[in-house]
Amino acid sequence: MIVDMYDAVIIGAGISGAAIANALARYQLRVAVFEKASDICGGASRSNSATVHSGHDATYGSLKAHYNVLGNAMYDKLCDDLSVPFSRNGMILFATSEADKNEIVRLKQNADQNGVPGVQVLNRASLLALEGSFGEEVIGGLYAPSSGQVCPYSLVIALCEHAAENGVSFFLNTAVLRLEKQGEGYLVHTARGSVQTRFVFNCAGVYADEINNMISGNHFHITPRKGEHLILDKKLAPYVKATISQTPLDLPSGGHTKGMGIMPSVDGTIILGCNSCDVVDKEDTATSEEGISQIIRFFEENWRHLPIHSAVPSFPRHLIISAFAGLRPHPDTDDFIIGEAADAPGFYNMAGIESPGLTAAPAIAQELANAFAQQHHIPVSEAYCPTRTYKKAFRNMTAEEREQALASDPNYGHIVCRCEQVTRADVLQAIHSPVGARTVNAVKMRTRAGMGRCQGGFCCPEVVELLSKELGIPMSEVTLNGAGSEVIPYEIGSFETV
Amino acid sequence: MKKECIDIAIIGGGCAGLSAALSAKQAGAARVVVFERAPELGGVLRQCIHNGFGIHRFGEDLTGTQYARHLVDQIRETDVQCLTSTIVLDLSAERVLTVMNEDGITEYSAKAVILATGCRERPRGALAIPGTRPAGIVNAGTAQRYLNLEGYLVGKRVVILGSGDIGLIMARQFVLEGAHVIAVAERLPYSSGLMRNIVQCLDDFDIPIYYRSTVTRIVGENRVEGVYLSEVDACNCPIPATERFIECDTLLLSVGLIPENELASQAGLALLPFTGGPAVDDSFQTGLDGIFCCGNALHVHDLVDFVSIESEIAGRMAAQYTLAPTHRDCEVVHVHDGPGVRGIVPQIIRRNAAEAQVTLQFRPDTRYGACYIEVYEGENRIVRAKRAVLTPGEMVEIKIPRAKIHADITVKVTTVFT
Amino acid sequence: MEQCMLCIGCPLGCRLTVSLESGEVIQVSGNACKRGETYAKQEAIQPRRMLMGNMRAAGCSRPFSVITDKPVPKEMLLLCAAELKRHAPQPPIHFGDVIMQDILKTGCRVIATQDCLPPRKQNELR
Repeated sequence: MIVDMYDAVIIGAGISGAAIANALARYQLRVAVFEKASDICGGASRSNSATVHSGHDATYGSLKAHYNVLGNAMYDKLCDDLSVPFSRNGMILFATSEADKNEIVRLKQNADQNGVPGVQVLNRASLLALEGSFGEEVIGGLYAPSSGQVCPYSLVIALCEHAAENGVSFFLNTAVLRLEKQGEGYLVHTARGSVQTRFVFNCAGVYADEINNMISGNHFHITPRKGEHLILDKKLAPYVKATISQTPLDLPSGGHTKGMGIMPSVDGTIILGCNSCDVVDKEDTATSEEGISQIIRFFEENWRHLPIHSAVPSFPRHLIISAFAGLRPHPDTDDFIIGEAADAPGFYNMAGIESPGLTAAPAIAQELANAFAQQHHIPVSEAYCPTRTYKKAFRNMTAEEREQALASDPNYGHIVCRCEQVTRADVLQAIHSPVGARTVNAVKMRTRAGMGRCQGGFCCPEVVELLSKELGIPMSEVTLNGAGSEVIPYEIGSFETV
Repeated sequence: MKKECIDIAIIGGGCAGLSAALSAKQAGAARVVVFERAPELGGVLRQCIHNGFGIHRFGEDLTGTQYARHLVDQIRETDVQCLTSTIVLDLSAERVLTVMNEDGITEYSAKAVILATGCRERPRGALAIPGTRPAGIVNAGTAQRYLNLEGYLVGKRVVILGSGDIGLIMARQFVLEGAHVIAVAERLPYSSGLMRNIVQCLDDFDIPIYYRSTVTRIVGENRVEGVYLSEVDACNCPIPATERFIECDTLLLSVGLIPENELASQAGLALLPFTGGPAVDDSFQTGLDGIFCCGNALHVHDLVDFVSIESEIAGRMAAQYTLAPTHRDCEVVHVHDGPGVRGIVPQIIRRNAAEAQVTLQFRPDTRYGACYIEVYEGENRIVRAKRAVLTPGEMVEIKIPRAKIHADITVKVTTVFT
Repeated sequence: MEQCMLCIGCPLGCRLTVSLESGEVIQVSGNACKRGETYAKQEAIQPRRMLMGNMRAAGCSRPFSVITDKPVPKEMLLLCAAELKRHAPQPPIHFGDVIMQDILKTGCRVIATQDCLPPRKQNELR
């Protein structure tokens, strides 16, 4: 593979790596992104509540607070430019006790200090006027109008594709094994070869500590902190407008978690979650009986407080369509670790990007990239194209747009995923786009095929067939998620009947 | 957008849709169009290569593919237009369909619509089974499609969750193809599949079936490496002390079918909680004028023969509706689920219709030995039929003379010793 | 000698008892109908099962399904299933074609229950 030279190597293609890659793409630099998994956005960036936080609860004076507020403000333009679904639907924390109320007052003060716009403490009457039908025991709440919901993986995909269109190279299945100082720069040893580079950007999520500790003496430690979620059917979308959360709690280990919330995702499903549990294994994204039960129990007990209960009287367990877990990369410093390592010039950290990581990442990346470019006098690239080449998904087209699309490409007339209205044209695009899909899950993430009610029961066979044809590989080699996860590994007749 | 006017639009070209189309033509309907999203007609029958179909309807023991071929050959003799690789994107209450295929998008206005959209399988996500999300977790119907339409096996060492017929049939097929089926786990204390399938698909191959058991965790990073099986108590809660690990590379799910009624909802029809389908009267007309429903979309069947019989009635009724659109019969009675009865279809009976008999179908709520099916009008019992055995895995049918029905009725199951 | 079995003729699932003497059935009890008696007599002497499966025509990527015209002896079921894989008949295969006249000397024919035609639309109607 790659025995080559780059100006900058980015390790990790989650929201951090994608945002940095996109920011650096403006400049005259040869940039490569190394991602160890079979697709981009495989870590926490894909498995979260999808909330663009307001910043009302971030610790005053922290980097988290600073970048949360900055990042939040960027989202309208960012998502508009990249054609990523985003909804500034607001967040409400509801109070049912004096303790909740006190915490809400404290949060309001904290929000003001952090510079979060528009946060209000609402009494019950105002709360009902805003969102309606909260339960009888709800005495008031905190309203953060700047909070929003985004499609996190669509954002990562958009950032990466746009970066790729502007010359950034992406390498999947490329884990970084070792880093070595070499002259003015670094030698990056990966599973597929070694590369020389002037600069390194560490965006490795839960592995960022290991990457940093390879080269810098200023060690830090990342603890994978698991958060589990449930997804409910789109039928419930009309009943959830603002993101609604319980008043946040303190963790026994210190620090706090945002607690349980009900989030209307931008694609119509409802996300419930999440809990918090430190784990050891950085690949442990299994959901657990305890975690799922915890979420169900919370919502069964608290359903009556939520506005949705007036239309749906009790927790609709039968409308659960999926469950997932993600690992927050919790740093032992309790705050983002950003910037050039003091003892490793040219090695930049963007680490510990746990919540509000999704919100903060675009702001961090912009500042870091610009400071870096200035520091090293890197000129802007004249070939840079600020607009992303984006074809609308069939599902989102108007009737006229659909007719036009069909007229120019009959593949739009063939539905692959009925639940999410994904056409063959959408799937082909996902495979052939820059940083294209190579696996079933990659197609799913880019098109939504397989995310609906039947969870791929009907469309997966056709997606497998399309991947096989377009990638020129046998059907038995098409994988769900990379080597070892072949969907239909055995042709009939390939082993003897006993 | 192209616009067309037709007499009957049939959404779905499986057994229900084709049976309805044939009978609609026989009843004199003019322009009948079948819309099917797969590249071939036949629906799920295309992938059913086992026999057991047609014993009631045709007096022959056919495979699913032979049954489908029968229907397709008959359709070819008519002028019914069958559009395959064609999807209905939207349906309005006024019976306007937005239809799409590679040739374009067309709006069809139909005098009558028959919803024959079949059902989908309940996926792992809906059960929220804890664990990882590796390759090797497949629904039985999807595995059947991979095997019989593409020629691939999803795994070599299989555990099956759910003892419904699809899972049992696939157990046998896996063994015949050389794979190892390790066990079947069933949450209930009895199988929801036919006894003959337990014998022919499990007993014949010494595959154990563990009742009152379920999968409580899935393990494996890229591919399934095993599952944890636990016994469940009377409330269906797993008993932790009974948890044990079974090594396997595939978890096959056969945990229930759900009628596919997106279009019915889009048209504005409410779906009933037990059946998952819309409410219909005994002509299979829904609450929306001119919109009929039959087959698995109305309620999940176990024998395709009864899908045919039901759909033939719907087709005939839809044809009559187009030929002489009468004001809907205002004189109706409602049919209620009594003790022991779930999901009775139809839910409404027209008092003044021509047909002498009304056929009701339902699922019993549990297994019964010798028992009675009783129909009550208030305090009066108007019908009582004795049955030797009822089981939730098999649809129950009872016929009632229409003349006996004057007011709302309740159907119940009573044991002989009550 | 007595043998017990479950009848699979219909949903009732009668528990049958078959009395045998010198390899011949002398009595069947527990059955609610004649079909049960017929089934029991066969099952006690020589259990038989229908065989269904998939075969591949030479050079074709998709399989086509087949079924025997009569049940084969139960103890030969897996051998016959394996035998299906050892044949790759020449396409085109038409629904109803006899693929094998006598599989493994069971006296049973193997019949195609699907087409396997050149790569284009199979039984699509437009």
